[in-house]
Amino acid sequence: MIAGLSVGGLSAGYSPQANVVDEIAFEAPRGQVTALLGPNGAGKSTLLKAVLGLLPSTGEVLLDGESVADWPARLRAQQIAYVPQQSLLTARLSVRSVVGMGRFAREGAWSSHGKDDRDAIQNALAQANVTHLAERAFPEISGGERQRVLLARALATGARTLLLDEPTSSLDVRQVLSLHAVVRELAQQKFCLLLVLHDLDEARKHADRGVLLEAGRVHLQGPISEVVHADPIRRVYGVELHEGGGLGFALPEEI
Amino acid sequence: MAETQVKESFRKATSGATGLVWTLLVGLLALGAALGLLVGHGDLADPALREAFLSLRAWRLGNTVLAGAALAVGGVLVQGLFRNPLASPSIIGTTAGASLGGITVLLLWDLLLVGGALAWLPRELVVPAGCLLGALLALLLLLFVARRNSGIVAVLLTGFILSSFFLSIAGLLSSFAQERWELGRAVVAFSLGGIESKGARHFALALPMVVMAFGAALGWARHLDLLLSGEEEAASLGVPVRQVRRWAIIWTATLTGAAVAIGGNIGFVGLVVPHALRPFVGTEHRQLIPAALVGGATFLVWADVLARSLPGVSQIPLGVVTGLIGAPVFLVLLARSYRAGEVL
Repeated sequence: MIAGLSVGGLSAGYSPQANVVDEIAFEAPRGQVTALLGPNGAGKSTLLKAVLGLLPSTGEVLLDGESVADWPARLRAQQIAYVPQQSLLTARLSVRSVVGMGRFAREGAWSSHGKDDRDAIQNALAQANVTHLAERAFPEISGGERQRVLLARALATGARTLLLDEPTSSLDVRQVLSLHAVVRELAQQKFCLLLVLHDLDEARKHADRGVLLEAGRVHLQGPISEVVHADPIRRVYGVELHEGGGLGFALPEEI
Repeated sequence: MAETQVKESFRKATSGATGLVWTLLVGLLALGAALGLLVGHGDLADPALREAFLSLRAWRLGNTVLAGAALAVGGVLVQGLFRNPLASPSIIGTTAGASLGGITVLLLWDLLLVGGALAWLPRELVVPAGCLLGALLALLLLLFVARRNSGIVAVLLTGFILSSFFLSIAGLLSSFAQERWELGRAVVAFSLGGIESKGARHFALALPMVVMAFGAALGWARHLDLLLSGEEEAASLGVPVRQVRRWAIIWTATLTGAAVAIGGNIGFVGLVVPHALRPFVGTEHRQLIPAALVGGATFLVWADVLARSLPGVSQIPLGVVTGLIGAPVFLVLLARSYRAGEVL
């Protein structure tokens, strides 16, 4: 048993006949940043949703050795939090209200936020560096700021396992670095972090472990330096990886 | 420190604004209610008729308050349900469905039960049940045709087509009903709606429906807030999405059914009222739902006062007044959504 997330034989898809991910097994230990990698259509986001219980699936998802399958939705939301690639929220809610949504699983339907909730919201805002945005309307802040607010909402749930779906896809380089700084800090606090990442260079720089998917199956998993490596990258992405100064990628015909 | 003070004063200012809106809403409702009792073609100076006029107007006022409140809260619910700011019971075909349900029940009641064991039951008692069922079926049909993640326009278009379809069937049924005088009269009276002809019985039937649905909607308020982020995000935060959707549909149908049973086809209340309120009370459903309850009642009471105080005509149907106000508001909102890129 490992402390963190452990997935075995997990198959899931959008309809029972067609699984997008098949017999997936991987681990995301606590205290480490695990990157979920793979080309478009490999099933990264589907896998994330299956782990969250948002899609019908078969197989096993263990958190700190305990099966999450029978957990009611509220308990699961208290333990595993999700940061979507982009929120569909367009309503003019304040950032504080959006972060406050993270408290839903811990509050009664009729009760308003108590002191614990308010403290958790304040801490989450501070941890994600968005305290200064608290009274702004969510749809009016920048894409990078919104991503950090969604991270704050996930932190407000009190969950110590965070699943982030391409959290940096719409961020500029500075915002990417600041997001990874927050993620690293959380890893040091023994959070379990699983990030879908598109950019292999970014994954190599900021993740500890990698899980490389190919057509709905795990091709390779392990330390990030072994996963983002010439052979597996050539096999899965069809590109040559060459190292020198930093990392660089190019199509084979351009080399 | 200065920042905290600014935030604090901002919060006080905004909560002050909410208080002002509430005072204004309640004040306007009270004023509208007073006018509702005093304005009209009957002469209150005549002591012989005074009591009768006042009693008629009081029931009319009560029914107007209920219908307005029900439609506005129903509007908030469907807007949350479809995450679509342009949805309202009349626009997405729920009102037409309720209307068709009412007519169908009238017809069935007459055909199946004439001389039967239940013939002593007055028709008014069965009509609300028919309206509720009709509204429910209309919502389910809409959800079936326009999937829940459909764009804003797809939902509106489907609702519009369904609405036309329901009205056509209702027209067909009305034609059949004309073959029997008594039934024909009941169907025509119902189709033309008109809150003026409704009294204590209608009020007593609709009141529990509206009170129950309002209480339930308030109980789901927090869930509906989270649903604004989409079903996937809401589910990941612990919202039992299917359950919320199921109950939101049931309570919307109950509210629309009650409103149609007492007021007939009154459009746009569910669109105009929540939109007018959001800038002042915010988007969170715990504030918006109670505000819509009072705001909807206020809007319709004033529309009714207007409907019977225009010079040169004794009174115009309430649905005409709300349509004259609501349709332009809808077009402005649609144009604004186009400009904001929300409608593709």
